[in-house]
Amino acid sequence: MYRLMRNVHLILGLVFALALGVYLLSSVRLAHRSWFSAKPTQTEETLSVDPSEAATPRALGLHLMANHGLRGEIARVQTSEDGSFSLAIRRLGSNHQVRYEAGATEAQVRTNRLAFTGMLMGMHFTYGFWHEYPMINLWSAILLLTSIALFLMGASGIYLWFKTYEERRIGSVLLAGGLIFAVALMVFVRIQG
Amino acid sequence: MYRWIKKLHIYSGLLSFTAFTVWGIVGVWASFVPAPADRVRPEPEVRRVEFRVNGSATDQEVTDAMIVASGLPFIQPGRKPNRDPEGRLQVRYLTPNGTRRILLLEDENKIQVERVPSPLTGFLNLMHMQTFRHHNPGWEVQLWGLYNQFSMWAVIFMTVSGFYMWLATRPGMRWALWTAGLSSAAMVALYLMLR
Repeated sequence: MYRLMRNVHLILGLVFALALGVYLLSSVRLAHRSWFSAKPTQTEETLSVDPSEAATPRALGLHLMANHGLRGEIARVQTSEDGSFSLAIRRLGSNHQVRYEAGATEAQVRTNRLAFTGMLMGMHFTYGFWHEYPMINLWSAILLLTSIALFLMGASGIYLWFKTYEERRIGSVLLAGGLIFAVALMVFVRIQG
Repeated sequence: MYRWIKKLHIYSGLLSFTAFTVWGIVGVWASFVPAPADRVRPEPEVRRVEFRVNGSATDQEVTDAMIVASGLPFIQPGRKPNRDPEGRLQVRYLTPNGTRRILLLEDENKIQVERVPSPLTGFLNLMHMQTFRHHNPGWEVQLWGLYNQFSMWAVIFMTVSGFYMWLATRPGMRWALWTAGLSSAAMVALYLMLR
Protein backbone atom coordinates (compact mmCIF):
# COMPACT_ATOMS: atom_id res chain seq x y z
CA MET A 1 0.00 0.00 0.00
CA TYR A 2 2.82 2.40 0.94
CA ARG A 3 4.53 1.75 -2.38
CA LEU A 4 1.31 2.26 -4.33
CA MET A 5 0.63 5.56 -2.56
CA ARG A 6 4.19 6.69 -3.15
CA ASN A 7 3.81 6.00 -6.86
CA VAL A 8 0.40 7.74 -6.98
CA HIS A 9 1.95 10.79 -5.27
CA LEU A 10 4.85 10.76 -7.74
CA ILE A 11 2.77 10.30 -10.88
CA LEU A 12 0.31 13.05 -9.91
CA GLY A 13 3.24 15.34 -9.21
CA LEU A 14 4.86 14.57 -12.56
CA VAL A 15 1.68 14.91 -14.61
CA PHE A 16 0.54 18.17 -13.02
CA ALA A 17 3.87 19.83 -12.13
CA LEU A 18 3.85 22.23 -15.08
CA ALA A 19 0.15 23.07 -14.74
CA LEU A 20 0.70 23.71 -11.05
CA GLY A 21 3.76 25.75 -12.00
CA VAL A 22 1.56 28.00 -14.15
CA TYR A 23 -0.68 28.76 -11.16
CA LEU A 24 2.20 29.17 -8.73
CA LEU A 25 4.34 31.45 -10.91
CA SER A 26 1.37 33.61 -11.82
CA SER A 27 0.51 33.84 -8.11
CA VAL A 28 4.03 35.12 -7.43
CA ARG A 29 3.50 37.64 -10.25
CA LEU A 30 0.17 38.73 -8.73
CA ALA A 31 1.61 39.07 -5.25
CA HIS A 32 4.82 40.83 -6.33
CA ARG A 33 4.02 42.85 -9.45
CA SER A 34 7.12 45.01 -9.12
CA TRP A 35 9.40 41.98 -9.56
CA PHE A 36 8.29 41.49 -13.16
CA SER A 37 8.08 43.58 -16.26
CA ALA A 38 5.35 42.16 -18.45
CA LYS A 39 4.75 44.61 -21.27
CA PRO A 40 2.71 43.21 -24.16
CA THR A 41 3.94 43.66 -27.73
CA GLN A 42 1.68 45.31 -30.25
CA THR A 43 1.59 44.93 -34.05
CA GLU A 44 -0.78 46.31 -36.68
CA GLU A 45 -1.66 44.96 -40.12
CA THR A 46 -4.23 45.44 -42.85
CA LEU A 47 -5.93 42.36 -44.25
CA SER A 48 -7.82 42.33 -47.52
CA VAL A 49 -11.40 41.05 -47.34
CA ASP A 50 -14.27 40.72 -49.77
CA PRO A 51 -17.18 42.85 -48.44
CA SER A 52 -19.47 39.86 -48.98
CA GLU A 53 -17.42 38.02 -46.34
CA ALA A 54 -17.99 40.82 -43.87
CA ALA A 55 -21.78 41.02 -43.83
CA THR A 56 -21.75 40.66 -40.04
CA PRO A 57 -18.97 40.92 -37.42
CA ARG A 58 -19.22 37.20 -36.83
CA ALA A 59 -18.95 36.38 -40.53
CA LEU A 60 -15.83 38.55 -40.79
CA GLY A 61 -14.34 36.92 -37.68
CA LEU A 62 -14.88 33.43 -39.06
CA HIS A 63 -13.47 34.52 -42.44
CA LEU A 64 -10.31 35.93 -40.85
CA MET A 65 -9.83 32.74 -38.87
CA ALA A 66 -10.35 30.52 -41.91
CA ASN A 67 -8.28 32.53 -44.42
CA HIS A 68 -5.80 34.70 -42.53
CA GLY A 69 -4.58 32.41 -39.76
CA LEU A 70 -6.12 34.30 -36.85
CA ARG A 71 -7.02 31.95 -34.00
CA GLY A 72 -9.23 32.33 -30.95
CA GLU A 73 -12.78 33.11 -29.91
CA ILE A 74 -14.89 36.03 -31.12
CA ALA A 75 -15.61 38.52 -28.37
CA ARG A 76 -16.38 42.19 -27.67
CA VAL A 77 -18.44 42.82 -30.81
CA GLN A 78 -19.43 46.47 -31.26
CA THR A 79 -21.50 47.79 -34.13
CA SER A 80 -22.31 51.37 -35.10
CA GLU A 81 -25.20 52.81 -37.08
CA ASP A 82 -23.16 53.45 -40.25
CA GLY A 83 -22.53 49.69 -40.55
CA SER A 84 -18.92 49.72 -39.38
CA PHE A 85 -18.01 47.41 -36.54
CA SER A 86 -15.22 46.06 -34.39
CA LEU A 87 -14.63 42.72 -32.76
CA ALA A 88 -11.92 40.88 -30.91
CA ILE A 89 -10.53 37.47 -31.76
CA ARG A 90 -8.76 36.37 -28.65
CA ARG A 91 -7.04 33.48 -27.04
CA LEU A 92 -5.18 33.54 -23.75
CA GLY A 93 -1.92 35.11 -24.93
CA SER A 94 -3.07 37.15 -27.93
CA ASN A 95 -5.85 39.55 -28.68
CA HIS A 96 -6.60 40.60 -32.28
CA GLN A 97 -8.67 43.77 -32.30
CA VAL A 98 -10.41 43.97 -35.71
CA ARG A 99 -11.97 47.16 -37.15
CA TYR A 100 -14.00 47.16 -40.32
CA GLU A 101 -15.71 50.03 -42.20
CA ALA A 102 -18.91 49.11 -44.06
CA GLY A 103 -18.22 48.10 -47.68
CA ALA A 104 -14.43 48.30 -47.33
CA THR A 105 -12.12 45.75 -48.94
CA GLU A 106 -9.76 45.61 -46.01
CA ALA A 107 -9.88 45.19 -42.23
CA GLN A 108 -7.50 46.75 -39.71
CA VAL A 109 -6.11 44.26 -37.21
CA ARG A 110 -4.19 45.31 -34.13
CA THR A 111 -2.61 42.39 -32.28
CA ASN A 112 -1.57 42.51 -28.62
CA ARG A 113 0.67 39.68 -27.51
CA LEU A 114 1.24 39.11 -23.79
CA ALA A 115 4.70 38.55 -22.34
CA PHE A 116 5.43 35.22 -20.62
CA THR A 117 4.22 36.18 -17.15
CA GLY A 118 1.23 38.01 -18.60
CA MET A 119 0.34 34.82 -20.44
CA LEU A 120 0.63 32.82 -17.21
CA MET A 121 -1.75 35.25 -15.55
CA GLY A 122 -4.18 34.85 -18.44
CA MET A 123 -4.03 31.10 -17.89
CA HIS A 124 -4.57 31.54 -14.14
CA PHE A 125 -7.75 33.56 -14.72
CA THR A 126 -9.26 31.22 -17.31
CA TYR A 127 -11.94 28.78 -16.27
CA GLY A 128 -15.24 27.26 -17.43
CA PHE A 129 -16.26 25.25 -20.44
CA TRP A 130 -18.32 27.82 -22.33
CA HIS A 131 -15.54 29.18 -24.54
CA GLU A 132 -15.80 28.95 -28.32
CA TYR A 133 -12.09 28.27 -28.82
CA PRO A 134 -11.64 24.57 -27.96
CA MET A 135 -8.08 25.03 -26.66
CA ILE A 136 -9.36 27.35 -23.93
CA ASN A 137 -11.88 24.69 -22.88
CA LEU A 138 -9.03 22.19 -22.85
CA TRP A 139 -7.06 24.45 -20.53
CA SER A 140 -10.17 24.74 -18.32
CA ALA A 141 -10.28 20.94 -18.17
CA ILE A 142 -6.66 20.99 -17.00
CA LEU A 143 -7.64 23.45 -14.26
CA LEU A 144 -10.32 21.00 -13.11
CA LEU A 145 -7.94 18.03 -13.21
CA THR A 146 -5.16 19.96 -11.47
CA SER A 147 -7.59 20.96 -8.70
CA ILE A 148 -8.65 17.34 -8.21
CA ALA A 149 -4.97 16.33 -8.29
CA LEU A 150 -4.32 18.78 -5.44
CA PHE A 151 -6.79 16.84 -3.25
CA LEU A 152 -5.29 13.51 -4.25
CA MET A 153 -1.71 14.69 -3.72
CA GLY A 154 -2.74 16.10 -0.33
CA ALA A 155 -4.44 12.85 0.67
CA SER A 156 -1.62 10.60 -0.53
CA GLY A 157 0.92 12.96 1.07
CA ILE A 158 -0.89 12.71 4.41
CA TYR A 159 -0.83 8.91 4.13
CA LEU A 160 2.88 8.86 3.30
CA TRP A 161 3.67 11.19 6.20
CA PHE A 162 1.60 9.09 8.62
CA LYS A 163 3.54 6.02 7.61
CA THR A 164 6.84 7.83 8.25
CA TYR A 165 6.86 7.02 11.94
CA GLU A 166 9.68 9.30 13.05
CA GLU A 167 7.81 12.35 11.69
CA ARG A 168 4.47 11.64 13.32
CA ARG A 169 4.89 13.77 16.40
CA ILE A 170 6.19 16.96 14.79
CA GLY A 171 3.95 16.41 11.77
CA SER A 172 0.83 16.10 13.92
CA VAL A 173 1.62 19.39 15.61
CA LEU A 174 2.22 21.13 12.26
CA LEU A 175 -0.89 19.68 10.61
CA ALA A 176 -3.18 20.43 13.57
CA GLY A 177 -1.61 23.85 14.09
CA GLY A 178 -1.99 24.79 10.42
CA LEU A 179 -5.56 23.51 10.28
CA ILE A 180 -6.70 25.26 13.45
CA PHE A 181 -4.96 28.50 12.53
CA ALA A 182 -6.30 28.63 8.97
CA VAL A 183 -9.83 27.40 9.65
CA ALA A 184 -10.19 29.72 12.66
CA LEU A 185 -9.06 32.67 10.54
CA MET A 186 -11.52 31.79 7.78
CA VAL A 187 -14.39 31.45 10.25
CA PHE A 188 -13.41 34.75 11.89
CA VAL A 189 -13.38 36.56 8.53
CA ARG A 190 -16.61 34.92 7.42
CA ILE A 191 -18.68 35.73 10.50
CA GLN A 192 -17.84 39.44 10.33
CA GLY A 193 -20.05 39.77 7.27
CA MET B 1 20.86 16.41 2.45
CA TYR B 2 18.11 14.06 1.20
CA ARG B 3 16.84 13.48 4.73
CA TRP B 4 16.49 17.20 5.38
CA ILE B 5 14.86 17.93 2.05
CA LYS B 6 12.33 15.17 2.74
CA LYS B 7 11.66 16.56 6.22
CA LEU B 8 11.05 20.05 4.85
CA HIS B 9 8.90 18.63 2.04
CA ILE B 10 6.67 16.90 4.60
CA TYR B 11 6.50 19.92 6.92
CA SER B 12 5.70 22.30 4.06
CA GLY B 13 2.87 20.03 2.92
CA LEU B 14 1.38 19.68 6.38
CA LEU B 15 1.49 23.41 7.09
CA SER B 16 0.03 24.45 3.74
CA PHE B 17 -2.54 21.64 3.62
CA THR B 18 -5.54 23.91 4.36
CA ALA B 19 -4.49 26.51 1.79
CA PHE B 20 -4.06 24.13 -1.10
CA THR B 21 -7.28 22.36 -0.17
CA VAL B 22 -9.00 25.75 -0.49
CA TRP B 23 -7.28 26.29 -3.87
CA GLY B 24 -8.48 22.87 -5.02
CA ILE B 25 -12.08 23.60 -3.97
CA VAL B 26 -11.96 26.95 -5.79
CA GLY B 27 -10.57 25.29 -8.93
CA VAL B 28 -13.33 22.67 -9.00
CA TRP B 29 -16.03 25.28 -8.27
CA ALA B 30 -14.71 27.69 -10.94
CA SER B 31 -14.83 24.93 -13.54
CA PHE B 32 -18.61 24.74 -13.24
CA VAL B 33 -19.45 28.42 -12.89
CA PRO B 34 -21.90 29.43 -15.66
CA ALA B 35 -20.81 31.71 -18.51
CA PRO B 36 -20.81 35.42 -17.48
CA ALA B 37 -24.06 36.13 -19.36
CA ASP B 38 -25.88 33.32 -17.54
CA ARG B 39 -24.83 34.24 -14.02
CA VAL B 40 -27.47 35.38 -11.57
CA ARG B 41 -26.36 38.57 -9.83
CA PRO B 42 -27.56 38.56 -6.22
CA GLU B 43 -29.48 41.64 -5.08
CA PRO B 44 -27.68 43.70 -2.44
CA GLU B 45 -29.01 43.87 1.10
CA VAL B 46 -29.63 47.56 1.81
CA ARG B 47 -29.84 49.54 5.03
CA ARG B 48 -29.81 53.26 5.70
CA VAL B 49 -28.03 55.09 8.47
CA GLU B 50 -28.47 58.69 9.65
CA PHE B 51 -25.51 60.78 8.48
CA ARG B 52 -25.15 64.53 8.47
CA VAL B 53 -22.50 66.15 6.30
CA ASN B 54 -20.47 68.94 7.83
CA GLY B 55 -20.88 71.91 5.46
CA SER B 56 -17.19 72.75 5.54
CA ALA B 57 -15.87 69.20 5.11
CA THR B 58 -13.83 68.11 2.10
CA ASP B 59 -14.76 65.04 0.05
CA GLN B 60 -11.93 63.15 1.75
CA GLU B 61 -13.26 64.03 5.21
CA VAL B 62 -16.81 63.05 4.23
CA THR B 63 -15.57 59.76 2.73
CA ASP B 64 -13.68 58.95 5.94
CA ALA B 65 -16.73 59.79 8.04
CA MET B 66 -18.96 57.61 5.83
CA ILE B 67 -16.64 54.64 6.36
CA VAL B 68 -16.71 55.09 10.13
CA ALA B 69 -20.49 55.61 10.23
CA SER B 70 -21.20 52.52 8.12
CA GLY B 71 -19.62 50.25 10.73
CA LEU B 72 -18.53 47.89 7.97
CA PRO B 73 -15.52 45.63 8.55
CA PHE B 74 -12.42 45.24 6.35
CA ILE B 75 -12.08 48.93 5.52
CA GLN B 76 -10.46 51.90 7.19
CA PRO B 77 -10.62 55.66 6.52
CA GLY B 78 -8.16 56.86 3.92
CA ARG B 79 -9.89 55.70 0.75
CA LYS B 80 -9.80 58.14 -2.14
CA PRO B 81 -13.13 59.93 -2.68
CA ASN B 82 -15.17 58.47 -5.52
CA ARG B 83 -18.53 59.39 -7.08
CA ASP B 84 -21.21 57.30 -8.75
CA PRO B 85 -22.54 58.22 -12.25
CA GLU B 86 -25.09 60.52 -10.59
CA GLY B 87 -22.33 62.42 -8.83
CA ARG B 88 -23.00 61.11 -5.33
CA LEU B 89 -20.06 60.26 -3.09
CA GLN B 90 -19.60 56.52 -2.69
CA VAL B 91 -17.17 53.98 -1.31
CA ARG B 92 -17.10 50.66 -3.17
CA TYR B 93 -14.86 47.84 -2.12
CA LEU B 94 -14.45 44.11 -2.22
CA THR B 95 -14.18 41.99 0.91
CA PRO B 96 -13.81 38.20 1.19
CA ASN B 97 -17.54 38.24 1.98
CA GLY B 98 -18.53 40.09 -1.20
CA THR B 99 -18.84 43.62 -2.55
CA ARG B 100 -19.80 46.49 -0.26
CA ARG B 101 -20.92 50.00 -1.14
CA ILE B 102 -21.55 53.03 1.04
CA LEU B 103 -23.53 55.71 -0.80
CA LEU B 104 -24.04 59.25 0.45
CA LEU B 105 -27.65 60.51 0.21
CA GLU B 106 -26.79 64.08 1.09
CA ASP B 107 -30.31 65.53 0.66
CA GLU B 108 -31.78 62.92 3.01
CA ASN B 109 -28.98 63.19 5.59
CA LYS B 110 -28.36 59.47 5.28
CA ILE B 111 -25.89 56.96 3.95
CA GLN B 112 -27.04 53.81 2.21
CA VAL B 113 -25.03 50.71 3.07
CA GLU B 114 -25.24 47.98 0.41
CA ARG B 115 -23.97 44.49 1.01
CA VAL B 116 -23.91 41.95 -1.83
CA PRO B 117 -23.97 38.53 -0.16
CA SER B 118 -21.39 35.97 -1.19
CA PRO B 119 -21.99 32.19 -0.99
CA LEU B 120 -19.41 29.98 0.72
CA THR B 121 -17.70 29.08 -2.56
CA GLY B 122 -17.52 32.76 -3.51
CA PHE B 123 -16.01 33.45 -0.10
CA LEU B 124 -13.36 30.75 -0.61
CA ASN B 125 -12.63 32.15 -4.06
CA LEU B 126 -12.03 35.62 -2.63
CA MET B 127 -9.97 34.18 0.23
CA HIS B 128 -7.72 32.28 -2.20
CA MET B 129 -6.87 35.61 -3.84
CA GLN B 130 -5.67 37.34 -0.68
CA THR B 131 -2.02 38.17 -0.25
CA PHE B 132 -0.50 40.65 2.15
CA ARG B 133 0.02 43.30 -0.52
CA HIS B 134 -3.69 44.28 -0.39
CA HIS B 135 -4.43 47.66 1.10
CA ASN B 136 -5.17 47.53 4.83
CA PRO B 137 -8.21 45.22 4.86
CA GLY B 138 -7.88 44.37 8.56
CA TRP B 139 -5.54 42.16 10.54
CA GLU B 140 -7.52 38.92 9.99
CA VAL B 141 -7.35 39.21 6.22
CA GLN B 142 -3.70 40.31 6.40
CA LEU B 143 -2.86 37.27 8.50
CA TRP B 144 -4.70 34.97 6.08
CA GLY B 145 -2.86 36.69 3.22
CA LEU B 146 0.44 35.89 4.93
CA TYR B 147 -0.60 32.26 5.33
CA ASN B 148 -1.73 32.12 1.71
CA GLN B 149 1.57 33.58 0.58
CA PHE B 150 3.54 31.22 2.77
CA SER B 151 1.59 28.32 1.26
CA MET B 152 2.35 29.54 -2.26
CA TRP B 153 6.09 29.39 -1.56
CA ALA B 154 5.67 26.10 0.31
CA VAL B 155 4.01 24.47 -2.72
CA ILE B 156 6.73 25.87 -5.00
CA PHE B 157 9.29 24.32 -2.67
CA MET B 158 7.39 21.02 -2.63
CA THR B 159 7.32 20.93 -6.43
CA VAL B 160 11.08 21.45 -6.67
CA SER B 161 11.96 19.19 -3.73
CA GLY B 162 9.58 16.52 -5.06
CA PHE B 163 11.56 16.44 -8.30
CA TYR B 164 14.79 16.25 -6.34
CA MET B 165 13.54 13.37 -4.19
CA TRP B 166 12.34 11.46 -7.25
CA LEU B 167 15.65 11.88 -9.07
CA ALA B 168 17.67 11.17 -5.93
CA THR B 169 15.91 7.89 -5.15
CA ARG B 170 14.50 6.47 -8.40
CA PRO B 171 16.19 8.12 -11.36
CA GLY B 172 15.92 5.07 -13.60
CA MET B 173 12.18 4.57 -13.17
CA ARG B 174 11.11 4.32 -16.78
CA TRP B 175 7.35 5.01 -16.46
CA ALA B 176 8.09 8.08 -14.36
CA LEU B 177 10.51 9.41 -16.98
CA TRP B 178 7.93 8.82 -19.71
CA THR B 179 5.19 10.47 -17.65
CA ALA B 180 7.37 13.52 -17.00
CA GLY B 181 8.39 13.78 -20.66
CA LEU B 182 4.93 13.32 -22.16
CA SER B 183 3.12 15.61 -19.74
CA SER B 184 5.76 18.33 -20.22
CA ALA B 185 5.52 18.03 -24.02
CA ALA B 186 1.71 18.19 -23.86
CA MET B 187 1.81 21.28 -21.65
CA VAL B 188 4.30 23.09 -23.88
CA ALA B 189 2.19 22.26 -26.95
CA LEU B 190 -0.96 23.56 -25.27
CA TYR B 191 0.89 26.68 -24.13
CA LEU B 192 1.96 27.41 -27.71
CA MET B 193 -1.55 26.87 -29.04
CA LEU B 194 -3.01 29.22 -26.43
CA ARG B 195 -0.31 31.81 -27.04
